[in-house]
Amino acid sequence: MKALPLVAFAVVAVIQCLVPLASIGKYEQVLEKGQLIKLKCAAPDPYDPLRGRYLAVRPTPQSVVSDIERGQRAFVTLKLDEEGFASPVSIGLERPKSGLYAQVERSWGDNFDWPFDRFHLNEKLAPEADTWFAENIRSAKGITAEVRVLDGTAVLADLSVDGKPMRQLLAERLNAKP
Amino acid sequence: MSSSHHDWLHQQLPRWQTDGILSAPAAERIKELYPLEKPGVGLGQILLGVLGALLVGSGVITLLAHNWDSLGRAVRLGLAFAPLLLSQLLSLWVMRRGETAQLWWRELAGLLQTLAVGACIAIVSQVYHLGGTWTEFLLVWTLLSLPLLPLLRSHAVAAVSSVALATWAVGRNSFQGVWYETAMAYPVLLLLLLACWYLAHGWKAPPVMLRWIAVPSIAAGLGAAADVACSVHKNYWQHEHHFVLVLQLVAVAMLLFPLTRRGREETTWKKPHQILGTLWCIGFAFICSYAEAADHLAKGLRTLITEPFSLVVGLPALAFTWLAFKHQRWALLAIAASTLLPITALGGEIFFGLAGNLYLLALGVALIVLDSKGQLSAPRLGALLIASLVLTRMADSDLGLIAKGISFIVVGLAFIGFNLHLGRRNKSSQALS
Repeated sequence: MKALPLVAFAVVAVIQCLVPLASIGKYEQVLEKGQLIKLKCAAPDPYDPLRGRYLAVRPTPQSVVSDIERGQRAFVTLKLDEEGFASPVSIGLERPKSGLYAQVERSWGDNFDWPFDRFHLNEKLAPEADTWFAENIRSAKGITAEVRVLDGTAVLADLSVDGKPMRQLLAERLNAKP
Repeated sequence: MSSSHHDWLHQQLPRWQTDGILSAPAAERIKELYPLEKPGVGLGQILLGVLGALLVGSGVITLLAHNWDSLGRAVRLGLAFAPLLLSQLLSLWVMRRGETAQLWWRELAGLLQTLAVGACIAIVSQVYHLGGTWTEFLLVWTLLSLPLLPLLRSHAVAAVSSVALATWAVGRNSFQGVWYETAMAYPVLLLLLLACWYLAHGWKAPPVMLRWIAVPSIAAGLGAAADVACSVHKNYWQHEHHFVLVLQLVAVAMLLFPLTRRGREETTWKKPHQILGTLWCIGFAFICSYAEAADHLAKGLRTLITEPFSLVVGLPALAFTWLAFKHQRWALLAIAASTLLPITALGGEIFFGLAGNLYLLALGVALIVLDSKGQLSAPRLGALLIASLVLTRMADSDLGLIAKGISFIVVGLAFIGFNLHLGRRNKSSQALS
């Protein structure tokens, strides 16, 4: 067996591991050191065949006027209210030098898409999320996305309802059933 | 000449040498010209191995999709890497066995590692609730798995990669952004795939099953790339006919793709690129036989000349045409000549429709004549073309039902007669040999 193919295979194997590891390192840092912001959102319940059940996360304050074209990556500057809820102030192609900002993608009209759109759930909890959402869609209770932001990278940390983590709420409902 | 003919020839050579018909050097030369294929590796065994790998890989992905959120992030991430590392160890074991490793082990290892890469990046994005599109996921997955093609020389990885890259291009054909984020990047990715194939197998042609997977995939990928390139032009109709012309160049490149002498002599069903290229070119010629299409195609032709993507597909088509001339592949060149028909549209509707009809008639006759002169051709296709042309024109005409009915019967009888003639001729030539 010649050495070159083995060396090439080793390089490929390392790259195959490094790509997901680099993502893990980046997102772990954001979760650890990033600033917490909250976004109000709506959440129906679809399914991803590769990654399982998830809640579609659609934060509500998503539009800000600019002439950036659809599909372009941009940076949205955020401001927080006293409860920690974020709203967009401006959007631009250049990375802001300081302050709270996140990288997003321009979508239709004045809207933009956050770099997250789903919150994955255990397949046992997901049907309960369906039921909960159907029951509470008209109530004042809203789902809040808790997001960590660091140097423009935003990572969805958790979903909560009235300050209670979504998973905990669903697990309690599931356990309370006979 | 098919591989079974080669087998027969090799069986006869010792007898011909003993009988003094052939000298030993001449026999060796014949063996070089018509080599035997390596012993078959058991298609059933390979398919079962691939199926096993697919089931195991799908099972792992389904298990991970359960989302074991009670386990904690670190454990879940560890679980994501476990199948990848195990599959890498299996691939390493297969590679270390070198040539002694059975082919189905290579396929199994390649496919398992490919699926494990996908499962790993899927679970990382599940744990961190990452968004992004399925096309981005597919591209990262394919690019991370593609090096396994030259390293393990796996046909399964080649098949999965060609389908995945084409699916990416089709999914990315309406995406607006820089060119390398759209389907326009597909030709570059295709070159990468071909380079990986070359590193693995050199100039050796892929097995027939892989050809039937790869060729439609490549056609779809290039079609998606052409669609994005042409959508730059805002005028819908201009885009549509410009798009048809670019696809015609893709079809010509596929039709005239250079083959070795042995490849040229293979039966047609083993050459899906020729079948798809022929079908498109003939369909295109039929479009050109309608005068109404002339105006749109003439406009499309003017846009085609100014479109840089035309060069991406036009230059290979031109180079392959030159090689086809060199190898005297007259029948295919006659089919590819339909590309020139839109030029007549510049002269007006009358020239255009007439040229389309004359071309189809001439092509039909040429395919029959080439066959009668012993050249590689498709006489039944020629007869079918003439019959279809006559029937289409009769159906379009203002003639009465009696005249149309009689002409349909005459063409049908002529077609049956020609088919019988070819059948008898083939039978007698087989009996002679």
